[in-house]
Amino acid sequence: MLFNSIQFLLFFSVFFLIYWNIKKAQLRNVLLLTVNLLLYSLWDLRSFLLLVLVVAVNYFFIKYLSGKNVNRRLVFWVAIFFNLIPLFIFKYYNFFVDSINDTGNIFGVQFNLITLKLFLPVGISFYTFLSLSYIIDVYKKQVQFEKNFIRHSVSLSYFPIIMSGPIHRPRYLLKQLNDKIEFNYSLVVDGLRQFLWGLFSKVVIADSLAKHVGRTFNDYSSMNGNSVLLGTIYFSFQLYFDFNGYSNMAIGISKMLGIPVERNFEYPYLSRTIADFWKRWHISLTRWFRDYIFLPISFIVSRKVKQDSVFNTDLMIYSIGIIITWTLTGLWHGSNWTFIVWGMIHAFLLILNKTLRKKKKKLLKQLGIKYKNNVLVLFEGVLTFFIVNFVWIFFRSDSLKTANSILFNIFNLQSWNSFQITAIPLILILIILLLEFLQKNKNHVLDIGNKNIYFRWFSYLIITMTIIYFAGNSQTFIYAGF
Amino acid sequence: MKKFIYKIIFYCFFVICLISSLLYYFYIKGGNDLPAPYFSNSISFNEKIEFLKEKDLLEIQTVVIGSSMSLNNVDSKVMSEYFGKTKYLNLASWGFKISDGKEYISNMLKYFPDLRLIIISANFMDISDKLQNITVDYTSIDRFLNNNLGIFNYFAWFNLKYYKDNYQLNNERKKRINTYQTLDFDENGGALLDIDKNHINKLRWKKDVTEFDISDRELKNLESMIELLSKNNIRFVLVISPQRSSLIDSTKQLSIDRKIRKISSIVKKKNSFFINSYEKGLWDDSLYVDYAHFNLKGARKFTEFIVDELKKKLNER
Repeated sequence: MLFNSIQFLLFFSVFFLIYWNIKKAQLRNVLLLTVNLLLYSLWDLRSFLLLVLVVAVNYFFIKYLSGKNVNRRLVFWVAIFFNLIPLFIFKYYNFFVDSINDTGNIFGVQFNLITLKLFLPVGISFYTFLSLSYIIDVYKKQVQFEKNFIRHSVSLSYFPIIMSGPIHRPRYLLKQLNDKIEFNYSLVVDGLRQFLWGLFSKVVIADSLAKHVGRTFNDYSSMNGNSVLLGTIYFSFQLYFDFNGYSNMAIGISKMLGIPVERNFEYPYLSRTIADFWKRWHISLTRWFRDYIFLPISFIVSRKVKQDSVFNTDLMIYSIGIIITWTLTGLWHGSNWTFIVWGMIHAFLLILNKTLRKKKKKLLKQLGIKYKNNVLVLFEGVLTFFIVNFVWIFFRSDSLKTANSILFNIFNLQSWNSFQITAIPLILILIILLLEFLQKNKNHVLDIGNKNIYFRWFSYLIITMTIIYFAGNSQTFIYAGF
Repeated sequence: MKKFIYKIIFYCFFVICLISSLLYYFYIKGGNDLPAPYFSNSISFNEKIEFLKEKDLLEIQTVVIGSSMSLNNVDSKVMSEYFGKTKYLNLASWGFKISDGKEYISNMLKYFPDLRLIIISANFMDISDKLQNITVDYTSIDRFLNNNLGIFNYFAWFNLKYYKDNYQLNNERKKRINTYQTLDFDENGGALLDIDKNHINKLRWKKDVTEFDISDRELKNLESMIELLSKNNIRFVLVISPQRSSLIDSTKQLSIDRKIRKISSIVKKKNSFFINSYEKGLWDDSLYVDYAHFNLKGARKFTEFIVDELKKKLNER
């Protein structure tokens, strides 16, 4: 059941009424766990069995990790290994086998390793990361073992976030589940508004752009460069409105259940630099990688490398950490070289950004241009958008060859001619970006609780009617595939 | 909490009333221009399903499926003279690829208990990966064909944008003369193109199907479709619909021959025939309304060719 389906809306309405009519916290958690498992099993029964296994076994690992008189280090690594095994098998096994076979072929060696017919469990990347963070936090004694099995299970299978995030770590969720949750009118209404905005982003904008994007990436060879460029711009926005739409719906649902989860997007296309962009895009994932990969690696590198070594500079340590982190980030998104290259380009851009940051400040000072100068803000914003846009091409393409051909097509200026796909959606996109700019200090665009009653209800009605108008063409979420 | 619930109920009730009134207004006002319910993302396919509901399918022995190469190029008059008026139907719709055909057959065969022969008229585009597949909800088609829901069809297959967009376009599509997008089906489901020289679209005229590569995926689908039909004792005929002669030079002819060899190697395997219309020689430009769609004269000539070839092949067996 997807959040943008009528079945989910009807189901959630009934669940919402029952949930808030249960007074006992323990009973409410039982209901929440039942719904988590029920919804997940409706997606795919095989994935459900795997999730149940992961949740149950992790309970015992974490119990042992927090116990005394045990080899904590050994239990920790066994637990990490246990959680990574399903992810590796279901998501990456065939990719690695194919890559080894292909590499062998290049050097004339026949490995002939066999690929397997596997299914990709729904949300595996997300719940594996939730489990890993829980295990690491308990190992580092930053969070205590949750003895209550129901709460433990809810924290690893929480239905609003299990399919595509935000990766709201158990350390926060468990605390929220332990606190007394009471019906908070403002929070619930804000949740509903955020859900409505998410649904609008997904159904009206992202799904409308899907057909232009599909055409661009399937038929780029017969299109002129400017049309392909427009198609790639549409993809940048399709991805944003699709994923941000999903995140807003997930956060909105969670708020309606009295459990606010962390923000996942903060108007990323208003960013001025790549570093800024990654502080605003898929925030929960970026923070996860920062806390569990980048910082530990940087720490290890700075300790292991000799003081007088050329590698022991801030930039070097940062670069090593960033390259490893972003290669893994790319791989997290999918088992294809396109994702790895996408991650490595971002690593390069982040290193470049760090290298040039001081020089840029110095240059601006010399030219007498203030950092908040409007022209500079606009220039940097547009430049960052186009850089990100070009790198997204690798993310969307099915192979590196396709991505290169698309880029070649765009930069073949001789082919530029009248647009072969409509430019009208750009107007809608610009209007939404303007709304985002006006609401940039708010949690979401429809955070309009302080506006007058007529404006508020008129906005809800317009948005609802537009969603209903476009609802028939709704598609699955892009990030559900990760 | 009560305050919140009351507000939500009131708001939902208001929205439902508004939507129902709008739908009812369009249903009453729409008449014949009202598009068929939303079974798929192809209006042409949906209209064809609605057309099918009015027909007695039990008697049907021969059907043509496929894309516009079947819908617009196969003349129902010539076909029904040979196969019988009540025993033949053209089920084709726009953009219907081989893989769509395979899905269609696996889901719809149950409605044609007396079916003996399936014909597909296709060009290389229909066997390539360039076109996207049509997304069809066959469960909803079953529901539609087995029930009579009237206005509730439009609630059951709710897609306001689709109804609004196609409501405006259907007026044009129900015309037959000088429109490429005609959905004005004849009695047997065909829709020939009747476009005079002054209304020929220059862009369509210049298109070229030899650019499309034959996809292995589509060939696999073709193979499994033939397998399925063979199991059900239904004969299958694939006809390659030709493009106009001026578009073909010696290099393109080589490319056409190569592609045809690839396709025919699959079709000739089982209980099926392959008809290569290029074997007849080149098809003159005067028979066309664009690169590959025939005019009335062309469609008649093409269909007569298919029937003649069929007679020969059936006699050979």
